[in-house]
Amino acid sequence: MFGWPLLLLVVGGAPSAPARLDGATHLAAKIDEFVERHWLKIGVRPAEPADDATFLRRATLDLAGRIPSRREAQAFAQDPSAGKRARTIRKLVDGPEFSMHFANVFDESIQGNRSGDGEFLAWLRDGLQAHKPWDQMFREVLLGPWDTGERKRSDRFLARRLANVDELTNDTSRAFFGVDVTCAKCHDHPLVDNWKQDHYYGLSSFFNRTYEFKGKDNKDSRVGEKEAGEIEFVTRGGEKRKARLMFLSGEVVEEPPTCDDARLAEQRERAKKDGTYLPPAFSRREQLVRTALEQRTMFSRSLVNRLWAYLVGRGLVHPIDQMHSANAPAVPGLLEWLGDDLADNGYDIARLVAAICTSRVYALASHWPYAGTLPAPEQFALAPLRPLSPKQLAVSVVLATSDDSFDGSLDGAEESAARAEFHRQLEGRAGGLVEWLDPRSDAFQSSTGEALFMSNHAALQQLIKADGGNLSARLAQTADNAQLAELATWAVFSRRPVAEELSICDDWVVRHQADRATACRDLVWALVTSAEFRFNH
Amino acid sequence: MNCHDCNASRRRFLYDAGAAALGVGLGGLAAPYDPLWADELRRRNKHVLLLWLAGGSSQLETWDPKPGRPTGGPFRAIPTVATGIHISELLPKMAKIMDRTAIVRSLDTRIADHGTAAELMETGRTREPRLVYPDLGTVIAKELAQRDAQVPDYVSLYLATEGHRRPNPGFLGGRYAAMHLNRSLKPENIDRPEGVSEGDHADREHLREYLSERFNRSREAAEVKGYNSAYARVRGLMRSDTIFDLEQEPAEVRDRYGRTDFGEHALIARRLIEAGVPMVKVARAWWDSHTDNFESHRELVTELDQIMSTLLLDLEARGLLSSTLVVTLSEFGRTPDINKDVGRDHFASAWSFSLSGCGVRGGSVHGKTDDDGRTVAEGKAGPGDVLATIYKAVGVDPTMHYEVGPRPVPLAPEESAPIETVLA
Amino acid sequence: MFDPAQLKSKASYARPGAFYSLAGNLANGRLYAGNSDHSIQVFDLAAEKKEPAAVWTQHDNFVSALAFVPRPPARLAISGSYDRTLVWWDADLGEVVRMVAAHEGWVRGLEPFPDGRRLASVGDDMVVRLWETDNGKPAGVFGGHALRTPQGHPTALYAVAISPDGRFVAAGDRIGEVRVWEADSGKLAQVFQVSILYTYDARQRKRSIGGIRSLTFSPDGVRLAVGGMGQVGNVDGMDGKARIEIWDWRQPTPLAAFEGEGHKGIVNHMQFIGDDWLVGAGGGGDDGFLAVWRPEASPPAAATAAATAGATTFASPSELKPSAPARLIKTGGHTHRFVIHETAGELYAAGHGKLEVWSWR
Repeated sequence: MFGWPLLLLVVGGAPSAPARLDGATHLAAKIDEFVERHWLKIGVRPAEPADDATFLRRATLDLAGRIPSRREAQAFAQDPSAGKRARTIRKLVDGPEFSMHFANVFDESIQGNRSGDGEFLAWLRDGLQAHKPWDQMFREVLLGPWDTGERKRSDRFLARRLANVDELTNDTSRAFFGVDVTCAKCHDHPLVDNWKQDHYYGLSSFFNRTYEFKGKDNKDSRVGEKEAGEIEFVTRGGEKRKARLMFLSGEVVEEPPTCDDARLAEQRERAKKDGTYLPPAFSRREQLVRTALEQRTMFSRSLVNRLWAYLVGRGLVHPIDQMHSANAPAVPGLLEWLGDDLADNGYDIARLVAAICTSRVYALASHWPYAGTLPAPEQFALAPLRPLSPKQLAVSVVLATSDDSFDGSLDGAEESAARAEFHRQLEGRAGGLVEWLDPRSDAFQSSTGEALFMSNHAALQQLIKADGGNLSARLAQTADNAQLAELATWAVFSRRPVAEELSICDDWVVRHQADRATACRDLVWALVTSAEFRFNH
Repeated sequence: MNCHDCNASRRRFLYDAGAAALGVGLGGLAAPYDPLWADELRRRNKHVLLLWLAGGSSQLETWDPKPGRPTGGPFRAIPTVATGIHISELLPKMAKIMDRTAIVRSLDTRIADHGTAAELMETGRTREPRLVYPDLGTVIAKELAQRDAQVPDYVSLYLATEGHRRPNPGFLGGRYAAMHLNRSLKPENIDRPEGVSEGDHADREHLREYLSERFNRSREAAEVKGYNSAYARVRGLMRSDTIFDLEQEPAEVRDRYGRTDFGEHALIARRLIEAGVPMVKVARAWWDSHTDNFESHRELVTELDQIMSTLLLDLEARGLLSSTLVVTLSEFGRTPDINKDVGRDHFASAWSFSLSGCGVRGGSVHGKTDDDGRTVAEGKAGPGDVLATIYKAVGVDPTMHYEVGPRPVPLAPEESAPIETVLA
Repeated sequence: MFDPAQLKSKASYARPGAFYSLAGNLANGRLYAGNSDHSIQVFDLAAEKKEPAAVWTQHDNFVSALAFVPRPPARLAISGSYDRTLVWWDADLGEVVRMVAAHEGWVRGLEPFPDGRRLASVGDDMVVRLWETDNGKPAGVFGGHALRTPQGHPTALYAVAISPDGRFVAAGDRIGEVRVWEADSGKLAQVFQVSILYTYDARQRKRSIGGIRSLTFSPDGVRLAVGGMGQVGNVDGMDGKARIEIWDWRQPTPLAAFEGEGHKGIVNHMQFIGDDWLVGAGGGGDDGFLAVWRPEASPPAAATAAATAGATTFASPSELKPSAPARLIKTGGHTHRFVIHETAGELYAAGHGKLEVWSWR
């Protein structure tokens, strides 16, 4: 639990936060400029803006990993001020839940199917909380330093891939450069000029000397790198080639000639004898980091694209790991501009996220108000439905059905600490539900497994049964059916009910009036299992 | 990393920016097949029962014995009612009903490690980085499922811990995902929870459905339709729990199948088929006899003989065999050469599988291995061909394509073809 | 004097396939070894070339059992096979004297009575069958072992032993049951379970491995050594500890347990050398082996009474503290059977891919 004191320190004394996020508003305007220009050019009329309730729910899910609480939803609805949306985005991005939620988001995107390592998650959380720039995170994941227990948490990406250089190469390429190079291993990409075998093995060469160093008696296990080692490969034409250090851009890195320093040799001998680790004179991995950051565009655009895809529902380049010359971004100029802006502004993740969430395209509604066919997804004229991740859903179900006690209206550092604790408790209570829920994927599919779980498993029944001050209990105690409907809809859907819903609710309660507690329980069930709850819309 | 699939048509790389928006939903994929034909299929009510012999069963101790050869081992070959066909003496009951079964002896599938080979045989191809293929059971479930079925489309049983695999629906997604039982014969979450009456349970689902359809009124989103359809099937699935209850069978029937785990699972499979489930996979683990191969196959094959023959005759007696394809398949076979631990190791160069029932030319054999069983001599077949044969046997066109985004994906890989010799 | 510390390999006859059985005419220095290629290969130990002097073919399957029985003036070798037959051979001419359809299942073991007048065979029809050596006529059938394992699977009757005084016949099966009968009357004298030698994995792999693969009486006939493999986690391999239990079969009481300490496998054959040594051979997880143990010298005094079932309480086998072998030799591939030639100071071991001569002089 390193996070706590760090949290209070940073939040208490970070004067640059408002200034930094000011840039977000300007950036948002720039995004709007590019997108609107594009819409004009292709002759597409975008959907209406989403209403306040939808906007708040969307933003809270995306930035805090949960639905808004009833109080938050109502407070937002009642707030008459003009800049409330932008202000809310900032508040969310600045809050502790952002780093908790985005740690999960980054964990999945970096670690893929090896996500879930507690140490790595904690490192991500702390980094996001401290506004660590993306290039620094990249550096720490690939290079360290890993001299303290706290720092060593970032080696989990490499550490889990040391047995397989191909996996290491491809996962690094996907996570940080937006490029899936697996096919380029066997032959040159027939259509895409930039991916040849040379590129694959060139990238691989940055990793081939990386291995697991086990000290004397296997005590000092760590990510190590050797002094020497080359990759040789056979081309499709049967020719044997030695791989050069080459980045995905095609840039070749010259290695310095090996040093025949007597002192160095002596050091190596000693280290070998003692069983201690001695880093190599020239680190290929370090060179990769340097080259990638110098080249800049692949690294920066990949993060922009990834964040855009997460928040808007589809990458500017789609799919997000196919960023190559034959796959142009959907909105001309925007990706490049944002990439440069990101690099020029210290790879500030929060700033970019805030900017995207303040843009017009992010705030579009998800239902199409005009006649005729729906616009193509790459036109970004309509917000897509996005299923909640299992964790988002579980946490939101717990929040929606629980008591109303959380009050986020404290100030400053106290509020931040309270929010963090609140979120942690939600996650704790939601833990048992996660494994039963359908995961997100490129094409979301609902299984009967989840439906059976939600319908029949005791864990869910426990949440919706009227108990203490939870939602069902409070509903049962609400004598007036209209008020009951209001309370239920605000708590679960984070909005006010429409007329039809008031009458449905009334009808429901009246029909089941013999047992009001059960009627409320089942009303809550129907709300949390309804499609509106299941999707981010 | 096995990349020989990259040697594919250019079409694969034309899969561009629009590729992964799959838009799969209840209404089915926008696949270019004849909807009338699909309805016809459904009306015919076919089933596939896959007996997955997990761990690699020995072809030399089952369908392709080599008695008297140094690789043959101690088990003899016996004649069957199918002229000219001999199988291992460990399958005497199957020998008597061999006219219902066809054998393919010439599988050459190259991959001999459990996980990769299992995925290969389940999907017909090696994995691709960006496309997760569905297992054949999910495809069958999709193609043969009845529209308003009140029973599961696909039930999979794997109740050992070794080599446990859960069927992967791949790009076909959760809609046709298997109901998978690996802890007990009781499907999970199938009982109404405490404190919720039958009436409450039904009522609240109606409310849920109503609210969800309202939400989708202005959207017509496929994901929402899919979500609602999952819930629509819950009550039917809950009622199907009686199918798993073996107490409903007479003791005589239970004894015939045997009171072993495999026997009970096979009996449940028959009940599922009878109830209309189109796809059932029963795994019998674990055949990996690196040591003491003869003793373990004596045990396993004798059991298989009892259960498979009982199953086929039982299905036949109930008029179901002509509409049910029963397949025995492993991830690979076993080495002809016997190792120093009196065992056989993994072997994918020349091995066998069997098909019985629907669409099968009983009593036929496709392919030959050499005298010692080390290589395929005639009729080489690969994993794609296995799939193509299974699909064709139940009337599913293996050349049919699914649209995965804009990319057409054939059910069986392009180079593959159904093994006509064993098809009726 | 047998000295296990001095045991070393003297000669090796590499042959294809695996030898499952072995018998010796020690007076002549001839060995008869039954192979998985269905042949019986005759070795002349004195010969220069490491090849069989003769190869007898008659059987249709693995030759799983062999006995050499001098019946002056004749010298007989009798073989048992998975082809379910017993074949009598003129050991000098290598000619078939008679062939008998012996069991309704694989013949697994064969032992001659000490006086040579009868033989006992065991097979997968789960009975012991007695035969008159001179004419091949059946001389008794002893049954009682279960026909199926508790899980309903096929079982086997692997091992047979005859007491040195010829009065008792013992047989052991796959699930760990030992039965002892009076040889002349066929009356059941004892039955006891050594279930630790049978592993059924109900959770991971749902099948079994193991069994009593070898049995032998002590020189005083009071003890019975039961050989196999201890419980195993992974039934894909013979990864359990090689295990022998010594029982006072008349009580029945387990007296001692031996394990190949740190060594895995199954014990295929055992023999006492006097009261001081017990030699075992087998194969499995850790390669083939020959091992030598020091058995307990004599049974507890209380056990000298006549056999009474369950008369005394006894330590359960798991409470026996197993002792380690005095010598453990890796032989490379399963060793299925051996023959000891005490006067020559040699031991002949037959198994996977070879016949090997060991010497302790």
